[in-house]
Amino acid sequence: MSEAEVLQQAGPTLDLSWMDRHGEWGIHAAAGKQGLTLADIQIGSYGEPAERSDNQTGRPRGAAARANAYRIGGYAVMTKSEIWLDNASFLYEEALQRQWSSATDVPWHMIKPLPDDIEQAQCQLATFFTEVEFVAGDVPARWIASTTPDYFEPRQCLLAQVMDESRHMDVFRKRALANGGGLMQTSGGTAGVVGSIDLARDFTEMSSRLHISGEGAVLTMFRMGELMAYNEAEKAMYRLCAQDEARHVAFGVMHMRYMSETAPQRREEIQCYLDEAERQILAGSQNPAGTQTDSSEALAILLGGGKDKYDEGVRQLIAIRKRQVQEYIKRVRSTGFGDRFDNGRSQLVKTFDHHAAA
Amino acid sequence: MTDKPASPAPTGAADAPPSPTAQVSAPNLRWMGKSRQWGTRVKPGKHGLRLGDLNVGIYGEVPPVWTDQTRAPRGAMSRRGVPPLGYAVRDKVDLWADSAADMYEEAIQRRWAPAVDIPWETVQPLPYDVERAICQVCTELSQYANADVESVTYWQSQMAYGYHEIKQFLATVSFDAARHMEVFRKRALCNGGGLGLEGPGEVNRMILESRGGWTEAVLYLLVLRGLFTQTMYRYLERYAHSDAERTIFGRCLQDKARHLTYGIDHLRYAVNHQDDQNLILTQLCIIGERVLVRELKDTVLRGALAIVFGDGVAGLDAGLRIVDRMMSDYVTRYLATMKWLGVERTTLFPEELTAYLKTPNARSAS
Amino acid sequence: MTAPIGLALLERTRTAVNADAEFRRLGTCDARVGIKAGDDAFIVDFVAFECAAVAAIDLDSLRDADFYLDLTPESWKTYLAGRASGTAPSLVSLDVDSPNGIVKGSDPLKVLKFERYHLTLQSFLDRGARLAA
Repeated sequence: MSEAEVLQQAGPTLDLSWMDRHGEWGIHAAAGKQGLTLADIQIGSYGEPAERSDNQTGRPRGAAARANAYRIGGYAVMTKSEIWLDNASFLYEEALQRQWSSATDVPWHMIKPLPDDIEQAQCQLATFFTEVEFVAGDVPARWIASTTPDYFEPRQCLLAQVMDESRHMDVFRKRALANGGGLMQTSGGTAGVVGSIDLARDFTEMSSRLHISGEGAVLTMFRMGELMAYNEAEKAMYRLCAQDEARHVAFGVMHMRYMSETAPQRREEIQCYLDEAERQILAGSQNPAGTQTDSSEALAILLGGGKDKYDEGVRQLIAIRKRQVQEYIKRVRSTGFGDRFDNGRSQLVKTFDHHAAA
Repeated sequence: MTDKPASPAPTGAADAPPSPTAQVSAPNLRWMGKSRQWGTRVKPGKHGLRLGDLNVGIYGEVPPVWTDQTRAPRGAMSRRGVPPLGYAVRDKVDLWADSAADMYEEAIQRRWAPAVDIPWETVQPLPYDVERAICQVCTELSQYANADVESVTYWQSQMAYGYHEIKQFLATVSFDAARHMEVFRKRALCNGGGLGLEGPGEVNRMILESRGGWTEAVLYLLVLRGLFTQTMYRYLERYAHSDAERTIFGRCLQDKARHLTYGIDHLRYAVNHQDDQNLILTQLCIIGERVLVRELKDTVLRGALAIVFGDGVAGLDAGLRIVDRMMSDYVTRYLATMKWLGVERTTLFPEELTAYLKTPNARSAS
Repeated sequence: MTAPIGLALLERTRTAVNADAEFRRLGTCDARVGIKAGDDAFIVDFVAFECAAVAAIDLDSLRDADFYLDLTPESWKTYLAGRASGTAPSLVSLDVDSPNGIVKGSDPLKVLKFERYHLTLQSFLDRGARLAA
């Protein structure tokens, strides 16, 4: 007789037969040096999920299913290879530990009045970054809602990203309004044109554009915050944003690496996504370091130290673009798709050299 | 695991810039001077520099309808000819709550991490029946949190950026829900137990299938079911078997209270700014309450709670009386909230819920 | 012998928590909390990371609080003594157990502040309990 049956006999007032229906029992996940992490509870059947999810009711992975549970279903992402990445649980826990507050962790009191051209440039760049972070907040949210909870580890990472992007939207808005300036003109480059991040119909497609390419370019900018910042508040702002952005890029890289290792049949398809990403993002208006955009001019003014030092600023900007490309190439190589740079498929380096010379 | 910088932040010179003689195109600088409101200087206060503090002048003008279909930040100069993005939720009355901006900042300030902010070492071995019951409760609460995640992220991505305060607050709500999903899973897997049986899911489905818009989803997710979850958290904190559980439910209670505050604040705004919204909400309540009542007939959660409260199957009867008291608290609070909102709930209110108000241990209305 | 809840104790508690980094780490709290002890009443104002002010008020002025905690003077004394010795329940548990609850207020949005900030409030009263012991 099971323990539940014994207990049921002891308690006649309510049906307790459910006590016999459960997932794997006897689990003792133990906290380690970093506390009780998601990785610590990936034990036994609660560990890695199946290659394909049949979870149409939203039940927690490993919970016992009910035959009569209502389907909430409709998940677009139901196969592991569509969204998985190794070590998602570590990324998520790191995100939780490294949350920060734009209200109190940026020393706003250290902003002092700046020359008008510099302040305008900071505000134009801040307006751009606010707008760009809108994309990065909206798009992962849509994918979260349409991914089965059986793959909750990547979903948790995306939820952390939505939170991070929300904070980025707000910190740049704060910068624009903290020092006698204001918001300036939008770029319009985040609208839904063909090939943009919004219109991706596959998660890997979206991730290649958002994480590998778009956020990769922005990460380079944030890491160079020392060059664009004129006070400790701005330095802190870029440093904290860079920390978050690095996790988002890491998500994209690790997912792409997983695809490279487990989905050879999709290799050519993913190369096409990278073709498109390289065309759209690094050469287009969503890159603040791109050519002849409002934000690139603003950036050149900041890098040079003023409108009158624009040319010097542009030279630094070109160096930044070069670095963006170098980091992108390194990133893609690490995912296992680097052959595109060796076999002539990627036009990136050629395009970059052409634009740099223009 | 993160993408570490390849080298310290370089100076321009160290990064091999192109030849100083390279030709640089003259800038057009058309963007300079283009601002709807220049000269804004918001200073940090006791709370630091908060989102709500930025609502000065044009930046604080929140229109009743946001017609811009791009990602233009509120107050920025728009660019003509930008293709629209098709945000579905563009009317202030469909999402607004005055408290959202401040609660966004509060959510960030009052954050916690289940891995390290729960004293997991205080979880002690429990008798099988109690552990099984706790694991069952955690399984169902984790599933509720999943519905929160899926509903909130779906709607959040549909909201126009003219109401960025709401979108940003909802980002904290979905992040809180992620944390709740995680912490209940961790509790179920740390003490010799495992996950239990999934919930019936009818209320989850109702929440996720809210076709009438975000306001309908708010009513079901954050008020009808949110108050129920909140009440459970209170009782689970009271009848916790360890400091770990007490902390879990105490922390979740804080988060849920913010969600409820937004939900009620938004419904109040909707009722006050839209004719007959209170009548629509009444109809939605009638439908939603019936679904809730059907789900409450499922004996699994009721039994599990009773075992937790009664400290075992042997205390089942005492536990069931506590469950009934919990339900009477829930119904009382729900009705008081609806009344305060001006949403009538005397017509067609389910007898099954009214019955809880008449249980011997029900509180008198205060 | 535990000191009764009163303005002097609340003032000492305010000074103590405002000097405590752990209290600040709980996060921001913005609430006007009433404390009713029989015929005596007090307001404790929390703003951002601090307890901004405490004051004695008349009973009618409790309506200006977001919510108030209602215990008899003897119950307050017992509660504080219990918290100091680690035997008393949390405020949430006390509210659950009390026949009519201890958290009172007429505006559901404001009453929710109890649950939003209960950890801060608990920390404040626990400090007061240690000072009163």
